[in-house]
Amino acid sequence: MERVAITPLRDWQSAAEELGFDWHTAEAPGGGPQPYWDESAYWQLSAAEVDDIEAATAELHAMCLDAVAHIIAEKEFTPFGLTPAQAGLVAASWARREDEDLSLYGRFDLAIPGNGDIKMLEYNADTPTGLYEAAVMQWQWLQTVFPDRDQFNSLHEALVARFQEIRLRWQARGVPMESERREELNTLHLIAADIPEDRGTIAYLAEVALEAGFRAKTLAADRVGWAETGAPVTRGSGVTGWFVDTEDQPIAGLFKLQPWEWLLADDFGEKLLALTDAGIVRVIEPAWKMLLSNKAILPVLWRLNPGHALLCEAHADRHAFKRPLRVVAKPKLGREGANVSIADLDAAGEITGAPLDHVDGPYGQEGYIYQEAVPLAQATTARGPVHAVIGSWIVGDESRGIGIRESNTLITGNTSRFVPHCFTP
Amino acid sequence: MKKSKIRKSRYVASVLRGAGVVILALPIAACDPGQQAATEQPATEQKVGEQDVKIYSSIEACASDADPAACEAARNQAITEHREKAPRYTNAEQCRTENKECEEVRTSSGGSYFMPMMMGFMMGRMLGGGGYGFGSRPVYTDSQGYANTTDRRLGMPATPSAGGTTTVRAPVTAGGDIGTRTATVSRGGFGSSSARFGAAS
Repeated sequence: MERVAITPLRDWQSAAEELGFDWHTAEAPGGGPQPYWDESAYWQLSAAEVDDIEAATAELHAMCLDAVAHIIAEKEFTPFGLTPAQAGLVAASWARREDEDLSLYGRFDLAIPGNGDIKMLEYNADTPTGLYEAAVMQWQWLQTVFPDRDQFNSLHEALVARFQEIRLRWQARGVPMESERREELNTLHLIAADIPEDRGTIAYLAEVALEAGFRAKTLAADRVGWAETGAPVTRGSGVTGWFVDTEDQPIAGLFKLQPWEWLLADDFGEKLLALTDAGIVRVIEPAWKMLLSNKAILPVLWRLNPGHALLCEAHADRHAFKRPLRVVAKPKLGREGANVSIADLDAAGEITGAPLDHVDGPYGQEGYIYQEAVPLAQATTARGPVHAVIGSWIVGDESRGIGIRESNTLITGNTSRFVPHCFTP
Repeated sequence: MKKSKIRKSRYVASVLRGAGVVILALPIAACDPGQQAATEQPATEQKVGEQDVKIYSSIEACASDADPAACEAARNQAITEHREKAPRYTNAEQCRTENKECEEVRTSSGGSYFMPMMMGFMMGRMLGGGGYGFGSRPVYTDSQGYANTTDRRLGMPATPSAGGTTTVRAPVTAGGDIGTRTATVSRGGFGSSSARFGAAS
């Protein structure tokens, strides 16, 4: 794959806003505006490279599912920091994974340094973003700028098809809630923090859900209500109410853009756990995804598939590498590159010298894992070298497209730029 | 392999325009054909039966079923409850989120607030918590089309208004109450999640 610099010919800001993409510009680390969507360059891939990425992503997803099955069978929940009740929810959700706990999507972050290697950096399996940019904005760019080329991107139709599957599965199962209101069976409530990027992402997913036959309602997560009835709403559940939206409509199908661990730690967390356990609320992503979005999965993958070509060596204990090595320390529940650092280890597993890169942030109390550092896709630009991470999307269980994030630093963060791609068949 | 251009441009044209998606608290008028009108109730109250409840929009409508003087007394009693117990909203938008029709009420101090507009009043023997007195209550239509009293949901009107009378088949509880008690709602329990470190990954 190759990075090609071009002069953006079109008024892309207006094109973006026309599509409702109003978070195209981010704040630079030192303050001031910095484009988040960046079409002053694109990445050119070959059809063979696209085939390799597609195959690698599908294989990694299958490995991840095997790892989840292993963790649940062996009850290896300790590294994931789950309470017994949360572990029970995860196991119950996994048992329903082919039924009402179908997964919608996830995004692998891949390092593709250009020597033929493809390495998994992590799996954003619970709350991946950058979806709208990849599915719509990038596609629209291709149609406008390179209408004769192709793009690894069938995300939108894959999402519609998967939402349809989920809807039919939910409807077939019904809702055990003895509410007098039945219209919730076909309604999907989508919640997120009230910030532009997350609002934009659920607005897009609401459109997709609508196309798949759901009634779709979006609301800020802090507007979700709890309707207390004072008595169990289903026999034996011990649940004495349900979640409602701002019209007091009960929430039966919930898409959340906040990580499971945040919601469970919140004031409504125990209620969410009880409602999900009782099958009164179905959640996208389902609870079993908590195991894959937690970076504690990385050492498990390595242990189950030692030396696998698609994996980076990873351990919970940095002394386990047993050789001098450059490693990346990642907080288990970190996001957007926060609290990630890169350092060199000596043969005894001790850190030598200053970190090569480090990003501050609010994570880390939950513990870290250590992963062998691998080179990313790189390119030289007029502004210096850039590093690119390939976000490779899984919809359902299929590999359906990519989106590329670039940064000037080694660690890809919240303000890394989204750069479109294309390939020539 | 599914990586060719199989997406049609109509998708891109429609996204994020919000057509059809219900954003936050906007009321919806959609009514799916498969949906059933409400007949069930929460397990908090034991339902013992159902009763057709007539809702009169005027004394004249009521007078075809009952004594005009009783109708007038019933309407007055409903209006009193309406003034005392109907929900109040600081602005029209809030009120219309929950109710089909709203009215502005001016206060003597020069301010104003909004209340749902009465679609009519109901009267009957079993009203008023199991007693056999002759009671009457104000009735409202919410934004989803259900008929409600100030604290109970009656159900979806089964017949359109004819001559100013609408009929709703409503559940009757063991305690003699008609309709389903509306649950108490609290909000903000996912507030910390929203206030955390911003974007998802």
